[in-house]
Amino acid sequence: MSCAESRDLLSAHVDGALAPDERAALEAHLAGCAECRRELAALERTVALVRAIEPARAPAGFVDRVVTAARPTPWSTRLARRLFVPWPKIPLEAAALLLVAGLAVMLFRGSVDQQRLARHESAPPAAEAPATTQEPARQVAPPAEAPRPMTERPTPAPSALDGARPRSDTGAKVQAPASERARAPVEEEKRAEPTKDSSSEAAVGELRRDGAESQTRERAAESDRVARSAAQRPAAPAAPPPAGAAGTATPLSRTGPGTGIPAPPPDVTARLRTADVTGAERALSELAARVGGRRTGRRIDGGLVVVELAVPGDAYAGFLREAAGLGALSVERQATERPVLNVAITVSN
Amino acid sequence: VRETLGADPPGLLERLRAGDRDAFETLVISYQHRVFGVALRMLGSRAEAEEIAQEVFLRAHRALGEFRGEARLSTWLYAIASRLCLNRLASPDRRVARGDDALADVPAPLPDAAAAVERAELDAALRQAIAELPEERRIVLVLRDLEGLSYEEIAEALALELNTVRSRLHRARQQLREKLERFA
Repeated sequence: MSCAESRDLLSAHVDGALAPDERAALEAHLAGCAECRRELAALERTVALVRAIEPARAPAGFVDRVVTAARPTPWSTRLARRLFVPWPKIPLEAAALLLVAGLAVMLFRGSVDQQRLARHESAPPAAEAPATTQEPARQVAPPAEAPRPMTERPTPAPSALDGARPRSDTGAKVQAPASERARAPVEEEKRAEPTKDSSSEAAVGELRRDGAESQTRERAAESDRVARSAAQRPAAPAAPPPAGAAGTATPLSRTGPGTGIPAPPPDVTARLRTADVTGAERALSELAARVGGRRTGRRIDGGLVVVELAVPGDAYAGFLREAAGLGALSVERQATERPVLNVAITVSN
Repeated sequence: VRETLGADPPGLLERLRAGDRDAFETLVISYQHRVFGVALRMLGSRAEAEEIAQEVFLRAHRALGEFRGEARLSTWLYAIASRLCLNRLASPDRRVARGDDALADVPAPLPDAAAAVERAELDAALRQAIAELPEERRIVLVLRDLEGLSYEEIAEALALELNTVRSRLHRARQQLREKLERFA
């Protein structure tokens, strides 16, 4: 057996997965080849490193989320769906569309009438004919204010809200010269068109939402996100910092003692012994900032200062190496699984 | 400590087929970490891994009737998980999330800073090296060295020849050995 042939069998040999004859041939080769023996040893070490990786754990609440998502829809929901889908949905959508469209037309018309009325009432006699286009906008402006309260009246349905938007344009338009004003109603009618579409689309989207099932899933995902973001929040200071100890303000936290929300355990817990506690504390904050992290908190635990830092996972090894230069550093717990690590370092002398 | 790949919980398959709701929950509880682990190592992002892991169980739930019962439930779940992960990795619109948290480490007590530094560096290097393996080698390595499947089980889960499993695993380990030379 050549070395090349032998190398191809080493990986399976590590698993004891060779056929008896292959194994015998390989072992005969290994007995006489130091190079291949070294190769086998290196491969075994590599496999051991990979197998020493801590198994991943599914996030908390995973089982509940899966079971909820898999649960068959209750009969009441199924019945409701069969009864109302799809037929009554269409008239409902059509009604919503008509309502929105009708409302928009009414409001626009109302505002146009008001504009005309206002113009007739307050414009000087010479300006009465719309043909007098030279009239400066400034003179028209005060009476043109009149229709605006009408156009800005609260709209009855939320879906009509989008349709209301261009009407603020209308307010601006009435202040324009009369020549433009004459075109305005036509433009407003045109502009009303796309608005109708988008608001009816929104209404349709609302109606198509697929009932309890997807909403439950969304809620579950939402509550999980909240829980997760809560878990990532830094711990609160246990006590106010004593006078003289790095008097910088500590960000308030919504977890930790006193808030009723337990703070998550940090990913890394370490102890730093140094003669200059205040200096080391500052140096740690600076170090965290330098590697792209930041100080997230500070508390007193058993009379000792605990500095809490957020350190990017990929910069953690470098951070640790430099932190070890600040004094006698011992790491008590270390989990580098997250992209950003919560590091709690107790500084004492 | 890695869970050893034992037999399926006794009677679980029968209960699942009978539509026992608690049985499905038992299935998810029993295999959640393994399915999630495969997805995490393959995809590199916890959020994406959870999404895929959930999909694995939902598909299993829907397809229980088609399960032949010749293989173990675990092998079947690994097969679904592997396929979904590889499909996801192959999908063109997948956002490129290079594995920043693909690997967990050993949170064992670490007596001194030097050991902690070394372990942290090793974790980073391992994570990187595994993430850089071509996908079809990575899945074989994950199933063998992280999940503890036998060659036969991997061949069945991935629908591959035994020899293909062997050579892909060999190449994956070879590649890791070269990248992790300074730690070995």
